[in-house]
Amino acid sequence: MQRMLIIGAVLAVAMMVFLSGLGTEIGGNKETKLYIGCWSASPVETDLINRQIALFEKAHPGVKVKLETVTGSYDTYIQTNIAAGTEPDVFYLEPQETYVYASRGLVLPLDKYIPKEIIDDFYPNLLAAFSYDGHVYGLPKDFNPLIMYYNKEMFKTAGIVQFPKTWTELLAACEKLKQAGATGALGDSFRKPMIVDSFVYPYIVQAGGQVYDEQANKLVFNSPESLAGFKFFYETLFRDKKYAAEAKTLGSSGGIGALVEKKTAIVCSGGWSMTGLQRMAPDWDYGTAVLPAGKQMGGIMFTTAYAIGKNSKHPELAAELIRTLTGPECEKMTAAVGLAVPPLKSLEHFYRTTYPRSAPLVEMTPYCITNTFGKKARLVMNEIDKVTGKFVAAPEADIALAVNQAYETIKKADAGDKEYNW
Amino acid sequence: MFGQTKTHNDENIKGWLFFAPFAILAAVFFFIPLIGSLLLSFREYSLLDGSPFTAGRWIGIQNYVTAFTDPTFLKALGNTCLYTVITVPAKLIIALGLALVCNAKIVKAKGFFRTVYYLPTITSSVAISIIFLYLFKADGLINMVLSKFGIAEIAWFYEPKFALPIIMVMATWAAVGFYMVIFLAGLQSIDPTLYEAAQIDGASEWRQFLNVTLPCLKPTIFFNLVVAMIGSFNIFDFAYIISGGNGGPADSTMTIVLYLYQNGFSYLKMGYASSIAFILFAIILALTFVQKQFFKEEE
Amino acid sequence: MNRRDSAIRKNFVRVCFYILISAYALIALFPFVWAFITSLKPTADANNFSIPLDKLSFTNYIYIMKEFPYLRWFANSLAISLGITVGSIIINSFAGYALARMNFKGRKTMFWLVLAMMMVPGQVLLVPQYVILANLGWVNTYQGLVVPALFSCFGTFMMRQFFLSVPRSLEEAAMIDGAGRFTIFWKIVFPLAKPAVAAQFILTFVGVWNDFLWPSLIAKRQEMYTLTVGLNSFYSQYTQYWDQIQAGVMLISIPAIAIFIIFQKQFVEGMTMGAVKE
Repeated sequence: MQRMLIIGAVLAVAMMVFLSGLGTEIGGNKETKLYIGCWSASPVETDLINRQIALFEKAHPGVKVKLETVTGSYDTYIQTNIAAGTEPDVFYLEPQETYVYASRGLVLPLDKYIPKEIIDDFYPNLLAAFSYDGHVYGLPKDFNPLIMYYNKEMFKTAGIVQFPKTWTELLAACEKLKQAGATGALGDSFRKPMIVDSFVYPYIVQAGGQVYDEQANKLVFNSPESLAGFKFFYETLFRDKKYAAEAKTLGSSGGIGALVEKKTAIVCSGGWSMTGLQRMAPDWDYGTAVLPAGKQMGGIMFTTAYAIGKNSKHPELAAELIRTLTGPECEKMTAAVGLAVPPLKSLEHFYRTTYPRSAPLVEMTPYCITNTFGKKARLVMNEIDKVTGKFVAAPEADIALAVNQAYETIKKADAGDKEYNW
Repeated sequence: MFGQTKTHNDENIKGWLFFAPFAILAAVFFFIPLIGSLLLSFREYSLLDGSPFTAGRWIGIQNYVTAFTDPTFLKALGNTCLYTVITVPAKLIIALGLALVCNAKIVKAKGFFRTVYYLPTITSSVAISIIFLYLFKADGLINMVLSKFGIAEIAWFYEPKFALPIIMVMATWAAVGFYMVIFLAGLQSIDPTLYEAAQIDGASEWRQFLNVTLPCLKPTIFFNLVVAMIGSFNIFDFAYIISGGNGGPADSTMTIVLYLYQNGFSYLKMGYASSIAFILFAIILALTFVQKQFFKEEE
Repeated sequence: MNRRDSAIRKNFVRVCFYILISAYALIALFPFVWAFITSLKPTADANNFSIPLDKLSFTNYIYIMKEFPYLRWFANSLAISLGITVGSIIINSFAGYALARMNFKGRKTMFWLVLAMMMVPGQVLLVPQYVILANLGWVNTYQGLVVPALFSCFGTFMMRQFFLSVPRSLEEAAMIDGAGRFTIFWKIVFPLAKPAVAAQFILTFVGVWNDFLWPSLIAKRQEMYTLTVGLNSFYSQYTQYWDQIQAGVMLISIPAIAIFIIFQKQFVEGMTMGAVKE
């Protein structure tokens, strides 16, 4: 038995030594390795980034780029890695994390490595989401505003010629659609229980409110204007069964599929849904439009940037990689796949003319906010998410109360740090 | 005399040599973290602050005070308690029932049933979660069967009122085999003459169960209860995998350890995470102590 | 009551018992069976409830082996589980023997410490343990995965209890022959502990094999993943491909189940050792 145990121990150690050596042997140690940390995505997206990486590798012989797909909590992955000094050279950065990483010096300022004229080509409100203290810490890889998708045939049957420009008109259109036989006019993002949390932000802006007032460094998502936005989204659109389709009529294909199956006439979603529609109904003619206005135009765009970790051994090369990945050539590939919009101003004309159906995405851009809510942006987002949770659990809940509770929770959490003005 | 001191010294050194590997590992990976955790729980510190944690701001018992006014922690505590209160009895009662039936003289192929019941227990929690996610998905088997009874499709993992109960079902299903095997061993170690004596006294089978089986099984029940209780309070894997790590929907699957994990490794609040760890420790310690007293008193 | 009545009653009870335990056996087995069947289906059929006998195949298994570093994850899991199991058995046995038989200063205190340590849930130590590993530079390494788990209070306690039951006369005889402590322990006493060692081996091995929390924190790069972490990662990326996901589930479960079935006896003995004696 002792012999068996010792053999077991030796075997285990030998295996570990062999396995840890396995990675370095293959390249003959000559290759420079760059890691990119990203979260798990659909096979289509993974394929896109792999092709973009191939472009970089071709131009930089001797450099091997490895994609490190993170599952589970991405923040946990990045933070625990930074603490151990093992973070990927380049990794995805979200607007709500910019302050956390930049203020602690955990990501490198990109303006040191990349010329100004290149940085200036990005949409300014996207760059702002990744800037801190006058420096840019992340270059957006792409972005995605929410827009409306609609079923043209159903609109035609209901006698609606043009997609409504305001919510008043849109609600009237919903009535018409219903009379024309649609089971529910508004689908996906309006239905229980799949309300996507951040989908409430456009309504706050449309009602004349804001989540966060940057000038005053104040959270204002419980101001009367903002509350009107919450109320419109939760009470009028969602609670009132007049407009939103019931989950069961949408069936399990849900989302954008319900549009194709005529189970719903209107769906609010980002640019990514176009690839889904392409797959489900390749030649189908559907309509896209900018979000209707409330008191004013408003929307949200989701964006992700590439940043360089402070422990990267090859920061110049990493910057070079980011430049390639966000350069015109790669961004054209992004546009071609259709999951998101290129963040470069110089590509706007090309994008609008090549992909006319995507035009509303670009048109939405000036009216959109990003998840930039000050120093505790993530807490703010989490608390607003919980409002959704409460509402889904009990649709009769008092929205004003829930929003104010969220506000108070953040205020209490901030007591020691004073990161916002109250 | 001299020789004796020498062997005594020798024994002392050798004893420590034998014990040393354990002692060193325990010092580095148990006691230093334990003390570190305790000190951290009175400080403000994040994983990203780099400097040794003693540089974190000392804030006294603030972390503990925060915990008991933090609605998410209270929700996590409530969820964990509810989970414990429901799954511990469920696991033990089902396990005891199965063990009793399996142990009956008239049942053959005990080994076979034991093996089958034990399979979920040796399967990893990741695999179990995935199997259940598949069974309970929107167009999955469970909804299909329910629809035959006219029950509309339920989005099990998206509705706050269903997500935690499913985890309870899953955890119970996964653990029953473990407790059953231990109960079975406990039953088999009961002296058969006790039953013979009871039969001579004309005791019914129910009486025999109450007067012989249960008292003899007490240490086994105690062991299972303690293990089940501690395990329940430490629930993490299922909640983490089912909710994708966020404890959702609406914190309905948030547990103490998951919240500890989130605070420590994602919300940059290691001090707070440590205070949660010690609250958890205190709860487990108290429960074990109460159980021990309870079982002692009756003896 | 005559004999026939009682025989009928007995048969009735027997049938009831069999129905009961068979029903639960079905509950315990069915999810596995369903997962297994799904793993054999083509993707197109993974979301319906038919079992197209002519289309079942092991394609999904081959696909996973090809597309994912499954063999690497398997090797990692095997190396880590084996390393921790063997290492901790040796370390726990030495410590347990010292506590049982050797007269060193502070033995009593150490024993009480081991007992007290058993009360502390591992999660309490999670955060600072990670900080220590990060400072040692052991994150994403095998030593980071293995070394912190190389000791176990329960294992040490179990071994101590076992060594206490070994008759002293054996050791005394060897001592008269002039054998040293190490020889006595390693050559004479330790081999007697075979049942305890076997039980600990299987308990630890399956425990480490199935562990998720610790490797998910320490294994950062794909090539360091264990099977549990790899499966979770695979699941998150292939959310819609249930047939392939279930093949992954089978591939991770089968080794543990096989080990259990082979060593079932030792397993049950090991588990009950602590429970029934206490």
